[in-house]
Formats: sequence, C-alpha cells, structure tokens
Amino acid sequence: MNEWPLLIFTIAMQAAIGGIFMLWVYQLRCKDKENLDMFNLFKIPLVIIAGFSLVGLGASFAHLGAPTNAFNTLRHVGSSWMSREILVTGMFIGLTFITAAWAFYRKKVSPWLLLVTALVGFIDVYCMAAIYSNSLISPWNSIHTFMSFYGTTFILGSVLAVALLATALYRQKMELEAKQFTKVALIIAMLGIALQVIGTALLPVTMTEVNMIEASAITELLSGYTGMVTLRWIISILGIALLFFLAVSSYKKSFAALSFIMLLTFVMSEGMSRYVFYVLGS
Amino acid sequence: MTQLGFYIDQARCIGCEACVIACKDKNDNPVGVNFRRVYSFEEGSFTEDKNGSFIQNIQSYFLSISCNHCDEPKCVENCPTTAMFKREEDGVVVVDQDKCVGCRYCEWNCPYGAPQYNEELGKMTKCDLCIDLLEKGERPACEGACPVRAIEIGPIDELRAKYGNVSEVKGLPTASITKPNLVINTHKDASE
Amino acid sequence: MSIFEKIKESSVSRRTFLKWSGVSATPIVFGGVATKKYLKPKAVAATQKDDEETIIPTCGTTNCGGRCLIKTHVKDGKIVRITTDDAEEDSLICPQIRACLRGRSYRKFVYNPNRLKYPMKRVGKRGEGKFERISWDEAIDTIYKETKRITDKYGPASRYSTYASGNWGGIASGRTMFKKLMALTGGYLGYHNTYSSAQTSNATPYTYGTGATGSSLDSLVNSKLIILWGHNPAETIFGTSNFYLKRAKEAGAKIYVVDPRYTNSGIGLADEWFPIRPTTDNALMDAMTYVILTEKLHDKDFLDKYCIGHDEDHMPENIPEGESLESYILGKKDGIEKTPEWAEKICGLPANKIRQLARDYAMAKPAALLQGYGPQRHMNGEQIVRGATVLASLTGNVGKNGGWASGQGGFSRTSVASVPQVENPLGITIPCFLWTDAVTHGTEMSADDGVRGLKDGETLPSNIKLIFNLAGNALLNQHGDINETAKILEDESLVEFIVVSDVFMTPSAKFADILLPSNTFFERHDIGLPWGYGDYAILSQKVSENLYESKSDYEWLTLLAEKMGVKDKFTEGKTEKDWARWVVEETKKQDPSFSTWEQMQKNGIHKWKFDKPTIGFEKQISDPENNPFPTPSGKIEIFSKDLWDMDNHEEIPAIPKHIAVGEGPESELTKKYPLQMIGWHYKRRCHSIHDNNPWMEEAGKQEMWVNEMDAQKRNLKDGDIAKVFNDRGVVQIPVKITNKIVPGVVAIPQGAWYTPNKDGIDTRGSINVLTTLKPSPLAKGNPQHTNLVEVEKI
Repeated sequence: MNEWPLLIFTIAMQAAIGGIFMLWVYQLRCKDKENLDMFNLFKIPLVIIAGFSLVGLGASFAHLGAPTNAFNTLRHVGSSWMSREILVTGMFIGLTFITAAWAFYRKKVSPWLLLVTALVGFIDVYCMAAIYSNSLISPWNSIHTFMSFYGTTFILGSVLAVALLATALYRQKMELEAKQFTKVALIIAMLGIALQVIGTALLPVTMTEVNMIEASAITELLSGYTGMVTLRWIISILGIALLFFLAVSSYKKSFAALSFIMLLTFVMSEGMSRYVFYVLGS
Repeated sequence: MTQLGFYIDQARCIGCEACVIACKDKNDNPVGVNFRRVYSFEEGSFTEDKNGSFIQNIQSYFLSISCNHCDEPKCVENCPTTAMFKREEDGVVVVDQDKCVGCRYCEWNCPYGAPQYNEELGKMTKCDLCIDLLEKGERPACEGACPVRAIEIGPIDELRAKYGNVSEVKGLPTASITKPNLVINTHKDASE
Repeated sequence: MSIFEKIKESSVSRRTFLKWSGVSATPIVFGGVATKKYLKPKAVAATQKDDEETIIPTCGTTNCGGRCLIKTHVKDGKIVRITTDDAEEDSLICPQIRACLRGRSYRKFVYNPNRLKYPMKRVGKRGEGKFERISWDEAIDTIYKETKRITDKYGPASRYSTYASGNWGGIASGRTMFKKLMALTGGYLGYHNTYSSAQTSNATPYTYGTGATGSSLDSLVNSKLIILWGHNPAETIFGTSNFYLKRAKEAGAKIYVVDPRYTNSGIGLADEWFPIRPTTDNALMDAMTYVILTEKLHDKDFLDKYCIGHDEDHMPENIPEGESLESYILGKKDGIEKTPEWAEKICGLPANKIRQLARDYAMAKPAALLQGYGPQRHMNGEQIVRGATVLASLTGNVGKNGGWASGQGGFSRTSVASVPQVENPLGITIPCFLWTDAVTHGTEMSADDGVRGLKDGETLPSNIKLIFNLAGNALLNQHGDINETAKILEDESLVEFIVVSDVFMTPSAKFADILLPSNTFFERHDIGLPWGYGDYAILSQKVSENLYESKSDYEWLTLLAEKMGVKDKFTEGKTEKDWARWVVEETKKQDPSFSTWEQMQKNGIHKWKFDKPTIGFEKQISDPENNPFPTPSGKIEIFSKDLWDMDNHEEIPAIPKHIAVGEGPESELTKKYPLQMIGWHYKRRCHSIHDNNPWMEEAGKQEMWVNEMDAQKRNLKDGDIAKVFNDRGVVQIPVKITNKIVPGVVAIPQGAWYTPNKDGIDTRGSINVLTTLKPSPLAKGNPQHTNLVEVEKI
C-alpha cells in the first residue's frame, strides 16, 4: 500500500462534503426557529469541516511527486477527470472557507452558501469517483466506485454532524433537537451504508475485464484481504448500533464521548474500506 | 506526420531482457524504473500417467513491451497537466518534465504499464523512443540490443506492410483501448 | 555548444537522418530545445556535451560464453553508457557480436560501490571476513615470505592456484601468470579439467578420439531437426548460438528441447518440449536406440563402415559375446529390453513421446543433437555424453552438413598467436574438482584419483599448503559442499596461506589471508576469444585507469616476481598492453588478413569470414582411408576397448548405458529426500559474477523453481521462503511455482553468493551448500546437478 495520501485525501474530503451537507440539512429543519443562535451552533462544526478539507488538500499535495507544479493540474479540464476533480475540489474548499468566513463576519449562517457548497461537494465526489472508474484498473472501473464514495460521504458526513452539531445541541440543553437530528443522521448514514452494500454486491458484475498487462484477477487480489473486509463490516455494524443507541436512548451524560467514539469507529471502517479499495487497484 | 512504432517478433523472444538493460543503461534508470519490460506468461499443467510418466500441455511465452506511442493514448487524455503529450511530427508520446506534477494518474490509464514513476525526480518518465539517438542518426537502444534481432522500430505503416496488423496477443489487453502502434509476430502459444 | 543547439542550427540536414519515407515531407520540428525538455534531466545531461564523448571498444574477459563487443561511451574518464556491435553487416557468415543483458549492465559492475579498494590482511579467524587495510608493499612482502617459507618446507607441489575464471583473458590473467611465475621458481601443482565440462571433455574422446566434435554453427541452417539436449544458450549465451539457432529456425528446422526445465531457449525456439528427470538421459537414449534399431531406422551402412561396437559382428578382439550396443539394447545379457515402456518409468517421458523423438531424429536427415554441458555435470555425466555420440552415429549424422556429432562439441577454426608459456618443471596435475582432496590427503592421491604426471605407484609429493585464488569463486562458492569446504579452509594447519585477488568481497574472498583488490577488464588490456563458436577476436582494451588502489594480477605478480628475482623472465620486458599488441602483431604475421593494432584499437574486433561451413569429421567421413578417427581403432568407438580395460564395468561401461545414480529418482534416498535438485546458468549471472549487480537482480531474482504438484504437497505458495535441505546443508530461498519444470525436480540457479546466517543456513540460495564433493567415476568431474533434497515451507 503506497496510496496513503490518496486514502487520507478522499476520506477527509468526503467527510467534509458530507458534513457541509448535513449542516444544510439541519438549518433546513430549524429555519422557523427564530430564537436559535445558528452561528453559535455552527461555528465549531464549520471550522472543523474547513479543517478536514485542509487535511484533504495537504494529503493531496503529499501524493504529488512535484507539488511545485501543482497549478499545471488545471490545464486539462477538457479531458482529464483528474483536472476536473482538482478544480472542483478547489472550488469546494474555497466555498467552505467563504461560508465559514461569511458566518464569522456576519455572525450568521447563510443557507444558500451551505447549499451551493454542498452541491459543489457532491460534484466533487462525482469527479473523484470518475477518476477511478475511468481508469483501466479493473476493481475501480465500475459503478461500485461511485456508490462507495457517495456512501462514505453520507456516512461520514452524518456521523461528523452528530459528533459536532448534536453534541453542541446537547450542550445548549436542546436535547430533543439533538435526538431528532441524530435520527435524521442515522437515516442518512443508513442510506450511505446501503449504497455501499449495493455497490459491493454489484462489483463482480459491473467490473470490466482485466484490461491492463499483468493485472491479477480480483478474486485472487481479494483473497488476501477477506479478513480486513469482514472486520470493516463488523466495525460498521458496531458504529450503526452506537448511532442507533444515541438516536433513541435518553442517556445523555456521555453523549459527547460516545458520539466521538462512533465517529472514530466509522472513520476506521471507512478507512479500512478505502484501504482495500487502493490495494486492489495498485 | 509519420507515426513511429514497434515491431516485436514475439515468436523468437528468449526473454533475456537485454533490451530492458540496454534501455536502463541508456536512460540511467534506477531499479524499479523500466521503460521497457519483458513479461512472462505461462499456462497448462502436468498430469501423472499410470506408468510414472508425465503428460503435459505447458504453454509459455515472453513479450517485450515499452510504450506503444498509441493513436489514442489514455495517458495523454487523462493527464491533468498536459505534460504527457503526443508529438505532432512522429507521434511519439513524451512527458514534458517542466509540466509533470507526478500524480501518477497516467499509470492507471496505460494498459501496457509504460509510464514509469521516478522517485528521485518525483515525476513520470517513459520510453521516448530514444528520439535523441534518432536525431543523431543512431538506433534506439532496445532495437540494437536484441540478441535475436526481434525488435524493429520505424514508421508504423511500413512495419505493418512488412509484418501485418497483429497488435493483440494472449495476455495483452485489447488494442481497442488505445490503438497501439505495435506489430507483433505472435508466439505459437500466444494466439488467442 | 550543446548538441541541441547544433541540431537547431542544422535542422535541415538533421532532418535527413531518417531514411524512412514520408518523413522529409512533413514539417517536423525535430530536435532543438523541444526535444530536450521531454527527456529525463539525466539523459539530457548525458547527451548535452556529446562532442566530448569518446567511444572505446573493449571486451569482457570474465568467463562468459558471450564474449561480446562492449563499446564504452566515455566522458571525463567515466563510462556513461555501453553499446554493442552495430556493424553494418549482420549476416550468416558475419553476424554482429551483440552483448546480452550481462554485457549491457557492466557499468554496475565497474562502478559498484562495494568494490575492494585496497589490500587487506586477515585479522579474525579465517573465513570470518574480518580484515584490516595494509599497503601494497606489506601485502607483497607477506606473500613473498609465506611463499618462500611454505616452498622451503613442503616443496613446489604444495603450491596451487585454484581453478578461477573471473579473469579469463587470453594473455595476462592471474591464472596464466601464476603458472609462469611458479614455473620460473621451481614449479607448482597444476590442474586439468574444468568445472564446466569435465565429464564431456573426458568421455567424448572415447568415442571420437577428440573433443573437437563441433561444426561451425552456420551449418545448422541445413538441419531439418535440431534437438537442444540440456542446452540453453538463451541464458548461458554460448558464443553465437542464439543467432544461428534463430537462422536455422527461419530456414525451416524443427527444434526440440529435452530438458527438465522448459528453458528460455525452449520458449524462444522449440516446437516441442520433452521434459525428463535429471540423470535419466541414458534411459531415454537407450529407448530411442531401441526404437531406431527395431524399426530399422538406423544407418546400417554408416555404422558398418565407420563404427565399432554397434553389433556383435563389429566388436574389437577378445571381447566376450553379448557386449555390443545391440545386445545391450535388446537385453541379450540382462534380459531387459530397453523399450520406451521400460524407459518411461525411469525418465518420466511417456513412451509415445520417446517413439516420436526417436523416429523424428532418425528420419530427419540431417539432424543435429546439440548437447549442453548441464546434463554432463552429473554423477553419470560421462554416459550422457557418450549416449548422444552413439545416437549421432546410429543415424549417420556425423560429418554431415546440418548433422552434428554430439559430445563435447569443441570447435575452432581461427586462432590468435599464443603468448609464450614456461613449462611447469613439476609436470603434475590433479582434476580441478579434487583440490579439497589434495588439501586433506594429497599425499595419498595417485593416478586412480585422476592425478596425471605421476609414475606408476607414485602419489602426490605434498598436500596443498599454499593457495593463490585469483579472480575465482571456486575456492568456496562454486565448488561442491560449501559447508565441508569451509571447514577444510578454516583449518589453518591444512592450507597454511591463502592469497585472494578479486574485485569484490566474494564468499571465497572471505577466506583470504591476504586479500588484494583486483582491477576490472575496463582497467587493463587483454585479448578476448569466444567460447568456441564464433570466428572473431576482440581487443579487451583499457578504458579507465585503475580505480582506487586496485591492480591487475599481472601488475602485482610482477612486483612479486621482482622480489623473487625473476622479473625480467616474467614480464619479458612487456606490459599487458605490450603483450596485447604483441599478440595482434604476431597474429598478423601468421595471417596477413588479420587487423592491425591500430584497427583493433579503433574497431575492437576482428572477424574472420568463411564462405562455407566447416563440418566436424568431414574428412574422416568423406575419405576414411586416409583420415581415420583419432581413436585406437581408427573408428567411431561405440564400444571402447580402453574403457573395457579399466575393468570397472558397472560404473564405467564400455558402451554408454543408463546407470542409476546414488542420488537419483531410482535411489533409496528418495524416501528421505524425495526431490531431485539441479542448478542452471541463470541469464543474470556469469557463473557467480553479477550476483551483486542490482540491475541483474531485478532482471532475474534468485528463486527456486518448484512444480505446482510438488508445491501443493508442501503447501507452498508463490513467493514463499522455503527451506531446502539434505545431509550436507540447508538453504533458504523464495520459491517460484511453475509448471515449466518437471514434477519431482526443483531447480536453484547456480552462482548466488553463499550468505550464511548465524545458524549456518545459507540465506541467499547458493546451490553448492547442497552439492557433493564426490566426483564422477571417469572424469573425476563435479556432479553439481546430482542431488536429492527435501523442501519445506518456513
């Protein structure tokens, strides 16, 4: 495995994109509540999400052999998904910072900026997946890549939001709000898991023939990682159970601690999933 | 434009890798970086006969491949920087070292494993058909190295006229992906 | 001005370099700055100051079968690139002498950072590998004193230079110059045979009276069928064989390969592979003979006219009934008919395939059965050699254009002047493989042990006490039974002083008392001649000054000669360069067509051209009355009276026979060690040279071939590290699971450098940890491929 920077990049970016999306979902539900201090609720999540996008950016630079030439990567938007992805990633990061800056400047959150940022983020996820699914590497050259990447976006976005936003709500004694939002997050995380499960099921049928010289069959490649794949699903199930517990239980004392454990659980399972993704391909 | 390409007499290849080393020497490439590579294929098995003897159907062959300077190079199409490009004058696919960012995306898009990442440079390198030697009127390193004279380089039209149109053999990805400028005289075990 | 600027300036004329059609019609902007930036920066650096680059041709003088033309591109005294023969002519009678991968990788040899850089003396226990830097003066002084002490005490027969081929130069190698120096100062114990070909060089003359049984390779284009029997020139690079076999194939010859491995030669050349178990070649040959005789496919006229021993009517005097080839094959005495069904059990090749091989060989006229040297490096290697000569005679393929007499296949129709030698006053030689015996109990060794030059009943006057190992790895790595050999060498009461001169710290070099840094052939002059097939001579030319404090063997032996008071006789006033020039000029005196010294310096190579093939034994066949074979009977001796008279008919039969060896598929030992283990000459090494060359390691990893069936039984996966062992030692090596090797056989490429861990287990995969010191019966040759082992996953 020598694609650690890409692993960190995709995971961090997808978490950030999902996180922005969840912030937008939350404000949608709270639109009418005039007395809510949205800025106060959103400021830490916005900073942390911006931080995630910076981590992603840093990792992407670490992947480059000659980072001083980074601006050249925008030269081929016409035909290269890599160019497109870098462009859109740049836009997303820029928008995330504008959204945060605007919020800090105006002490108020702009739903429109959140929406636009989230939409650009979704396009970014598409570009990211397109890089791999358009390559000649068989395990990547499939709709599975899209489903896996969007799955991660929804999963990590929702659990990130629970850890950041729901915790803040609890802190502000808005327990009902927190619980309701956690339920929404649970549904969206489940949607993400469902995407991934279907994607995995589709992989064998949608994958193209081996189209690179000296490529090994995927079954052969996978045989070394069955343990890791199994473990990843076990951890995911644990995470879902934890999220479910947080959504339904009224046990609020350790909400913050538990939600961070849950976030960590999902980061681990998604990381493992992505690890297998990269070793299959390179 | 006169598109240049390779003729590989696979039927005669003894897998010696003199071409690989000559290329390495010419380009000063470290271990792990090979503009030309020789792939080895093997199929079949032994079955034990009643009398302690063995029946076998083993098939095996080699294939020497560098960059095929394809008509539709996926590496060029997908390169984000336009560093990877196809020369107008001879169709040779080269990497502009001033532009390359070392993202290695071309590696994932070449069916033949041609782009070779150089750690030290942090950039992609690859077979440039020894254009510097061609300019001096010399022959590319691999061609002059082959002990069984199984490599020939020239305008692809002429090579095709001389040796036919085969550019796919067993174990090699379909030529429809990139339209390689490659002509192969197929080994008896490598016909599809 | 850089080349690119030049190109830019003369871009119009530059354009014409392409002889290809259409190019000049297109508006090309070849060259100029445009090209430069697409090249790797290093490549640009290498081509920028092109005008300063000079090309100096030279030739590797390691013991390599290729003996190719190496063109060094030198800039600022440093070799920046290597190319090879690009002569305009590349024809049947005058092929280019192209380098193989080893030749192309020499920069990683000469500039390897691990070269020995200065003289050293041993400070630890012998073999431990601990050394301390000393001056050349001290080194020469120590060598002089020890040589004198040992000579005074034990006499000249205690002085020995081990078989060493790292410097195989024709005129001034350490091997040659040691002999001269020692001959000038009282004599030395010499050796005969080689580690490569002892069985064939000894056995072949019993059939033909000579080992020179080869023909020029251009004759192969006339063959209808060529059988490569244990012959793998694709990797050994046996002279110009690869070029001519390709030409033969193009001319329509069918090519078969008989080998335990589906070799690279087989893949590139063969129409069919006939896998057999090692050491069982004669069972296959016997059955082929059975098919040929019983189906009356043999050339009876040829046999009756030129041979003895093929049937009872053509036997020497005073031999009892039933000893002819025909009687043996039909089982007249032992009751066993040597049928394909009998043979398939032994050799593993199905009976129908044996019949096909026999019929095709007998009916394709002419056919050439080419033997490699691998099959004869067996305990019964002599039989394998003679068996093939019998098949060639049986089918009348001797003395025919496109046929082949088989056996050793020695061939030469060109030569250069040889430098004057000094005769060894002692006049005794041992088989080179038996030097360890001569160390431990030399004074008990007699003619029965293959010692030559002793009177009847005499034994060696002394054990070996002083060893000069000059550019050699047969002191340990390339000898048999490394563990046993190391024990012998470690004992300072046996060999009292060991001088080693080498380029690297090889496993043998570790056993030096004084270790000298040798230069490489890039740093000296010599003449390179091919291993037989090839009508050319190459000037091995000095390209660079000695690196570090290294010296050639000629240079430091001259210093020693000076101390011994024989410098003038030793050098005859000449340097290595003078000798090289002398050889060229003397040759030109004998053969005016030969190149001048200046031409040799410029071109590096002289090629002789012959308008037709030279066929081995052509005269003996076309005019037998005036040209008898140089055998006692004057005929091809299928039955050898000389062998019969040795009176050891079981081990050394008078006609070639299948003899089951002690460590073969039929032996009891298979219960303990069920796998046969063989070695082979790997493309990435010349014997043990290049084992430390990183480019070569990439081109050919050190790994053991294991058949899928055998791997499954042992739960081995591709790339697993396995333990290979027998009673002699243990080797650890990665396995390559492949069906390109016959089941029941594993193969470790020979030449890897013995690298023991603290438990004495070799971790590199040096085959000789597992081989024996017991010699073959007739030649006293090394049976390197006759081993039984077991393999386990670690």
